[in-house]
Amino acid sequence: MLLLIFFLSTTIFKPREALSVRLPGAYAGERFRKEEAIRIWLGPRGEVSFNDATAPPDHVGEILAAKLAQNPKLVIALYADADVSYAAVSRMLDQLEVAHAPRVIFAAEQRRVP
Amino acid sequence: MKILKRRHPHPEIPLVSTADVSFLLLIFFLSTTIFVTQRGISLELPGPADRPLLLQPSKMVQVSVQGDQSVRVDGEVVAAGAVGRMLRQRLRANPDLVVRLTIDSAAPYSALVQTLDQVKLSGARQVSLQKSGER
Repeated sequence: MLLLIFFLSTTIFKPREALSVRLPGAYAGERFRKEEAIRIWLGPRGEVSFNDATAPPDHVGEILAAKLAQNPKLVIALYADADVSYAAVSRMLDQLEVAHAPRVIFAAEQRRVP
Repeated sequence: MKILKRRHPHPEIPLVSTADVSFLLLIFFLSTTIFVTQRGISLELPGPADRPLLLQPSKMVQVSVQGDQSVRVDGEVVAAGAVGRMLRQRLRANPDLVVRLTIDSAAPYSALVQTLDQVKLSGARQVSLQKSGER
């Protein structure tokens, strides 16, 4: 009964995200806490989303700069679809440079080393 | 004459079915609970005060990913999964080696992640990622 109460009280439902992406896999992924990161989703057609709201790709740098001004220790976590072209990712990295982001994390699904 | 006292049954709430339901719910949560961990490949970006560095070719290894996802290390075609091993050999000779990563614009994002993954596995600590439009 105690265990049941534990699970009932700690279960959370994942909030709906604006974009659904398929992450690439990686063996050397590092853990990070989502509370310490600004999460950006890059969809397969190049659309950009911050958590649950889409954003114009050309204004990402300004939005990030405003968020980093509030908390300079935040890192940028990029959740890009595996099939999106590197050109779109490169434009995103240019926006990160505009915002003077200190660190970027390329989110990936953890793979086990065979 | 013996007077028999009528014994009133004590009221009870049957809890056996409640325990069954609780147990089933517990098994459901135990089997379906997953702990979501955020993982990714971290890359520190240069700050606004950092100046571009001029590197000697001997202190640099060029890793390029083509549009067809083929990988070349210093011009030599290498299997994607063997990049880490090759970089590890180069790093043994020169631990301060800088990995210059160039990715074709048409290559998918997964190629970047896989190549960075190999670079991280090799132990390289310095990576130069080509910007869009840069040669």
